[in-house]
Amino acid sequence: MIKKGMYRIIIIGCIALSFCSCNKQETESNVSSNKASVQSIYKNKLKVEYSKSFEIEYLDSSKIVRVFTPDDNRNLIFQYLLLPKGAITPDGYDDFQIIHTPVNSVITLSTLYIGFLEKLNLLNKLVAVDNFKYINSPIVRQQIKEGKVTEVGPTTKVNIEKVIELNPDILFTYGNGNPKLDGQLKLIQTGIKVASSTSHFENTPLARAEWIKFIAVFFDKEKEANKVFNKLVNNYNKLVNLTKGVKDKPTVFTQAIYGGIWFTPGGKSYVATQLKDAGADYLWKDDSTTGSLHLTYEQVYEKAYNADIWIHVHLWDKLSDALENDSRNSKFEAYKTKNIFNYNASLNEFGGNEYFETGVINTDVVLADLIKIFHPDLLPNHKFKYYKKLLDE
Amino acid sequence: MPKSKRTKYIVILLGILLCVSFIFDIFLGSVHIPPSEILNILVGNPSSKTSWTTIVTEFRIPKAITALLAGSALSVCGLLMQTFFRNPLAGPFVLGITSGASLGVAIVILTAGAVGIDIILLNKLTGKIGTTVAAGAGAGVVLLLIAIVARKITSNVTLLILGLMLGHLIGAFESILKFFSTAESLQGYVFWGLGNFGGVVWNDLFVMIPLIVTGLILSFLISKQLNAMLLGDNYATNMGVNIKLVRLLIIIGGGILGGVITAFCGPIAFLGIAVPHLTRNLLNESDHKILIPAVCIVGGLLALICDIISQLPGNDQTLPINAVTSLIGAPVVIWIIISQRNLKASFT
Repeated sequence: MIKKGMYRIIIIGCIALSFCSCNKQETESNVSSNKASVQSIYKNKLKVEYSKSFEIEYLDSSKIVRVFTPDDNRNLIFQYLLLPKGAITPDGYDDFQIIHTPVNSVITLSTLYIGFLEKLNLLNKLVAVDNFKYINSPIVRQQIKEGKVTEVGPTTKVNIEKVIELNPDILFTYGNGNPKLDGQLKLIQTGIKVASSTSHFENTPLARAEWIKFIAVFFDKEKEANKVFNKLVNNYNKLVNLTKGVKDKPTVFTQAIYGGIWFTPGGKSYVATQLKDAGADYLWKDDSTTGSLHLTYEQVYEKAYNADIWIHVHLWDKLSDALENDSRNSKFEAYKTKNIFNYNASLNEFGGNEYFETGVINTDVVLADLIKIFHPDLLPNHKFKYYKKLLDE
Repeated sequence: MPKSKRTKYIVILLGILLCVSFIFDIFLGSVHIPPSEILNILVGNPSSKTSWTTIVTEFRIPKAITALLAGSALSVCGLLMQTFFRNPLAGPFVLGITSGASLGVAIVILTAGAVGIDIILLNKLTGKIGTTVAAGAGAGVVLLLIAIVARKITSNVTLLILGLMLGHLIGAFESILKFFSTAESLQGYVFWGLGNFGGVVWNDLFVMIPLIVTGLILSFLISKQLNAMLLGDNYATNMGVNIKLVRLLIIIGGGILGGVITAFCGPIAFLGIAVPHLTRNLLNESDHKILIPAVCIVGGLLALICDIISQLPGNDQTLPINAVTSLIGAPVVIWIIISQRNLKASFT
């Protein structure tokens, strides 16, 4: 008898569930029919053209933002329903983080966002960052001094109580595409709205920079984001055209040994793309990964001992740092010819690197720096902003 | 076959295996170099690619020597500790020396990150020189501490427990440091903890070799006293052994062997415990005059084999050396505990 009763309950439950899902479908179709008939309240719209990891959809009086895993599967990780302030949440959006725009207070857990916010003139909305030491922006440094911006720790060890107390409209962080491992789930469960990017997995610099649209949409700053991004694309493509004709492409390799492992960007990473755009011959260009390769010293040496130029060398400041890292670095031709360049020309007093803060949204300037390294004659008047040549001293 | 003759053959065989694996370690690596070219390089002829000469002379040979040294030193250190404490589970870590080295590195890498020393200085500290000095200093301080305590405390069991507790205490400090450190510095510490034979260059070897050889000779010189100690302190005293002096020599010898390797290669797991057992089982021998050289050979052999495996020949990837030593070492210890039911007998 008990068993029979159980079955009944299960069957009824199933029927109820199927009704629910029908309802959901109905609301969705309602929404799309409304979309056609009613004029959208959003005059300026953003179109995502370069990144495959997020999309923005404009409905009549709401926006939907979706973030996907950075791999080919494009699994949905986060979805947001953005509503104007005061609007009532429609049914059928249980799986969405509901956010009322424009947001007015924001926590960032990556310096990357500082660069984006600065370009959009939104730094005054900032209430907390992950670590003061990384901040270069004079505006934010001033805000820190005035006590307007506090510190909450990195994504994995964020001080949740402090975040709850600050109660930001949104918290910007980054992840590898697994919210559970990336530590964002815990924040979401406490009611904090978390916007997470996977921009570091993008294969092109422009796709990375396009995440400015992802930020802007929460602030209703569509117009500004379009302006900034279109200008960037324009500048970037002009520079790429400069190097299109070059025949003599110097060979280049990156990074250095660290704890027995030599990390180097994969052949489909944004670094590889940018090196190609700058007219260089990246030695791992034929590799097919977007992330990092883990190599041994001898693997790198075998391929790169004769390479012309060596870049992105940890925090090396002068040539002798190469030997301090490993005395065998002197065997590289690029060391012998003193052709080592690093992206640490602009550091704050703690060593926080501006490259990581504004280098993404100023990727045209980064490209210009790189072109100056590989083909100095193409940009004779350009002055390095992020890069510098390591000297003897 | 008489036992001594059998032992001799086994030791000779192990010696040959050691030479073979040393050669293999040089021939196999993540870059494919034809064996004929390597032979050319080894006899001093130029190879067809200059990069190959550098790879063999600057990377593979120092790495193989380091593996050999580390395996021998840690295994002899483990043997000394097992005899000293008459405890089969003793190893280089029991005196807290490796923990001391870890703490040294943790303090340097992690506090630097936590208290806000600037990132450039942090880079220097997490560099090779920084960690080597820190680990050496940490191991030295703990060694000194244990040596002082050992003068006052005569019970080896008490000393064993003290060493272990010191290790736990240091572990607690490490956890606190880890908790408050930044992601970058934590990464540096984790990498150091994975162990690495490949970071040692010729200049490091010129420091390591004399120290390790001194430690090994010291250990060999006290093998008669070690034999006596196996039978108990009272027995040893009756045989005319100066227990106090021998204890100090064991602590210093073991400390140098364990400390130097940990400073240059990071903490290498399991070799120190597993190899003495493996050697005793192979030779069925407890005389330290034979055991110490034999442990040297087996330790070096096992470390070289682990290094070859960690390179995953024919594959682009490599494994951290500690993953391999643990994968091989842990089953060895388990096998010994199960197969040798009267394990305690060989220590009392």
